[in-house]
Amino acid sequence: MIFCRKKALLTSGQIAKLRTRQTVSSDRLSCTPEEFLQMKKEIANILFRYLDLDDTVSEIRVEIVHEIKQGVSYVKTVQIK
Amino acid sequence: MSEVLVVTSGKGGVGKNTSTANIGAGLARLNKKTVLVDTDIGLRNLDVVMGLENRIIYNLVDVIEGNCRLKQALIKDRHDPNLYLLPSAQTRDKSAVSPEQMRKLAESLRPMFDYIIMDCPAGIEQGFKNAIAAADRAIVVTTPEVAAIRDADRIIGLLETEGFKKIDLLINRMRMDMIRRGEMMSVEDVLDILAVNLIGAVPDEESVVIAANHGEPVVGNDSKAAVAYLNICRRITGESVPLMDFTTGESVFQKVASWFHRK
Repeated sequence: MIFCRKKALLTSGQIAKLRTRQTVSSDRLSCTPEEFLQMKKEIANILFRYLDLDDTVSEIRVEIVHEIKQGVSYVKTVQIK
Repeated sequence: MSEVLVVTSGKGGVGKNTSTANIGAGLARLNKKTVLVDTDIGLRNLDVVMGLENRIIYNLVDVIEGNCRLKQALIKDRHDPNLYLLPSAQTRDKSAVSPEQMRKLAESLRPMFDYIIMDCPAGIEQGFKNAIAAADRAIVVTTPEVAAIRDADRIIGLLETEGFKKIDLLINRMRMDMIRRGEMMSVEDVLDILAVNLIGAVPDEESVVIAANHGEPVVGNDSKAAVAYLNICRRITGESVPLMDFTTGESVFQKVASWFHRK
């Protein structure tokens, strides 16, 4: 309910940006938007469980790095918050 | 030394043809001998955008199959002697050409031109592979819409996989009135998601449609879109040009109002 009210206050440009960010992130990680959201929630929960983080944390970035013989192949960034 | 650029987007209808024609016209205006290669075999459009549709005798496939010499297929622009078009074939399909043949074609064009611009078809299939085969750098065209940005991101990923070191972003059809109201993503919003170098943003203007109706580039008139395209061309040549201020011409009230709409 709170989520719906918050969404209604956003302009269509802001909604477009949120949708684009979510879609692009899902594409980059080859998972559905629902799976992506769930993954973000679970990673955030684990970090909050093991690290001494308070609510003032505004952004958490997780980088998944694939390394091959020649060096770093590519990096995927998951923005949690 | 000549440079091969590919203008691509993934999604159709974002203004690839128009951007290619105007970048070509802009580079020619900057005294750079430029050729535009329409690689959209079966669905050629660049000739129409440039107003050269009645001058086509030979095309890209004729050159590759050896039915004519390269110079016979090149069409000189009606306005600028520095600008040429190599049109695509309308009655063939994408499989008529291979990436290796495109590389050979580009090598034949390099001694004749400063810039060789490949106009890429929509999609990521054979036509895309042909268009990028010989390119040294890429310009990815997008509009500030969810689907177009999503496709641009996919294309950027594919270009990076192919080893492209220089990938620039062109954001087309920016509507300042909508951005002011918060109803369209801004340049900053798009860059926040795509994180590639911005080569320029082009405003959505009637002048672009009118020029295309006449089969002429918008570059050369005094519209903001024309200035934006010319600035993009300057950046392509290596010149450092600041991003243009789309708000020039707005009233003081509009400028103040836009501050209240910003996030």
